[in-house]
Amino acid sequence: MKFDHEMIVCIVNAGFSEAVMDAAKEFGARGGTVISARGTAAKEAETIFKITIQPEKEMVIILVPSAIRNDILHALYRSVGLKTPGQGIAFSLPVDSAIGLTQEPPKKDVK
Amino acid sequence: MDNFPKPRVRKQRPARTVADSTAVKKLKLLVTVVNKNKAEFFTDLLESFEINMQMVTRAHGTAGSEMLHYMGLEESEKTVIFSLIREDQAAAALAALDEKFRTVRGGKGIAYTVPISGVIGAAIYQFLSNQPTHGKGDHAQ
Repeated sequence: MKFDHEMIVCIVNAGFSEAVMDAAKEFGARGGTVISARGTAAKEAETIFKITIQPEKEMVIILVPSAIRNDILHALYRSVGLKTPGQGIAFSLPVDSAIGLTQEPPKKDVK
Repeated sequence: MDNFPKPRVRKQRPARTVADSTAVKKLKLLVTVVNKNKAEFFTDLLESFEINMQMVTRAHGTAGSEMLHYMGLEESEKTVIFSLIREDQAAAALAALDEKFRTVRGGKGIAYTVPISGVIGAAIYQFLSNQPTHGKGDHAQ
């Protein structure tokens, strides 16, 4: 099944939502919605992966055309991924119908 | 030739569709992003589409023009409504939302649906899909 849009969810440490939007906008995203959240990762995970988990999180939801989904996910991985201070994870969900969106942005050349 | 009886043609019944009352209908997650002060208006509207569970959360919108960005006015307070809706009601709900987005002052927003791949518990499913009890007990489907 082919979907026109995808919903990208990016969960980052609090304060990094702007970095998420900057990375996403670079590849054609128009806007997003930021929800405050709290992480609940297990203590064991902190020792296994040698990371510290900051409980205050921000969940950024971005609705994008399917064509630019991969570019945005890669951009998020590079700029706010687990190996960056943002310690973000990002994933996408299929959207079967959407309304209220403004016209599609002009396509940016993919590097 | 006229003396031959005409062959009897059986009228074909319409094929049974998903709309049959016993068929299991899928659920979708309807996400609606609107201005903060319009949350109640839209939750009330969505309730008329047989939605039994909605989750409302405060959020910030980040879409805006370059000018607003430089003036520091880019972010705006929003409400995100997560609703679980039956598949056959989704199109009507989106159409109603679209109409309100266009006509209500300050009611502009976006809405979209995401398919739900599974749910556990017959009673939970019946509650979420607003369908009366068909089977017995509380078994996973």
